[in-house]
Amino acid sequence: MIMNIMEKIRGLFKKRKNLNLALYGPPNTGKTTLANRICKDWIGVELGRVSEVPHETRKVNRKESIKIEHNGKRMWFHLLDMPGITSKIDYREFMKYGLTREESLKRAKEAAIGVIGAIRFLNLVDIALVVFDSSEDPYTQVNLMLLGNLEARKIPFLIVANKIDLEGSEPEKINEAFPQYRVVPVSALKGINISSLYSEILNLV
Amino acid sequence: MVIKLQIIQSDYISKLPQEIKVKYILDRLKRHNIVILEKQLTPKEQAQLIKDTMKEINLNGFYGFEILSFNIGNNRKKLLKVISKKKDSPMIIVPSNLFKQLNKEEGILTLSIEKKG
Repeated sequence: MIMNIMEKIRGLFKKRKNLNLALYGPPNTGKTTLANRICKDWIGVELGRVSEVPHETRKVNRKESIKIEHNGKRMWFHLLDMPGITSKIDYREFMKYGLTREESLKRAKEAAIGVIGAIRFLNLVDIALVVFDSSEDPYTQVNLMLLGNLEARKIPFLIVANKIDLEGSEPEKINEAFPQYRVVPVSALKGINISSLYSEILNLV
Repeated sequence: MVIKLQIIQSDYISKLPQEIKVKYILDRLKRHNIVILEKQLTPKEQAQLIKDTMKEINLNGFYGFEILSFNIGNNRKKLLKVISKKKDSPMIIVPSNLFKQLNKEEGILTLSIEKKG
């Protein structure tokens, strides 16, 4: 019975031409780096700018009709790179990166609007990649809130344990924290294990 | 400096619609009060709280909040079990300009606060 329902759901996905594939996560976990990697791999161009200053992505970046293929399977996606989700934005943090007060206030305002947009977009997402920094503690309330919202909306998702190239990275800690979910360790920057990620994405649909 | 800490019984707000419940909490956070809820907010309520907070950010020294509970912190327990067991455990919501540090030991949360401006 459950298998039949699952098959029907998969069938519905397969009939649609493009799925909204969204990259969610806290700020500075490498969502845009991953989005760039995916875009570069499949359409040869990058999607967005990357920066060490948090909240570089302050609006939803979208790239349409990306075909992902792996082992004979293929699917078309609209890729959505979301602003990082956080419960706090203090403009003074940006000043530590050399931004002026005015630039920092502007960035904070835009970042806040970006967070609102990212949360609103949850209603339009078909599949999500939740990108965590594998060198950081995954047990944060924002991470739990995000996973809980995807579950509540029945949106299929993978956890991407990014930045495995960093010293101190512990993707196994994310595995231990969330044993009920698929966790794919990658380095979006170095392109490590990205083909496994494509395989897992296609397994979701 | 006086810092108010408000402990809210779940019966008091559990029947409120989500928007009203979130507004009730947010109004207190904006006044730089620490809010302790007897029971956890749902993920959807937390998302709503974040969304509404973002509309108020950077006004009057309000920069957002930290949510603390027994579910978070650096431990290696399997989180699904932790979540399912701890839904009824308290949730502490601290304006981020007050939050300094959280120490978590077995069964004890220690919150350090400091007015940061």
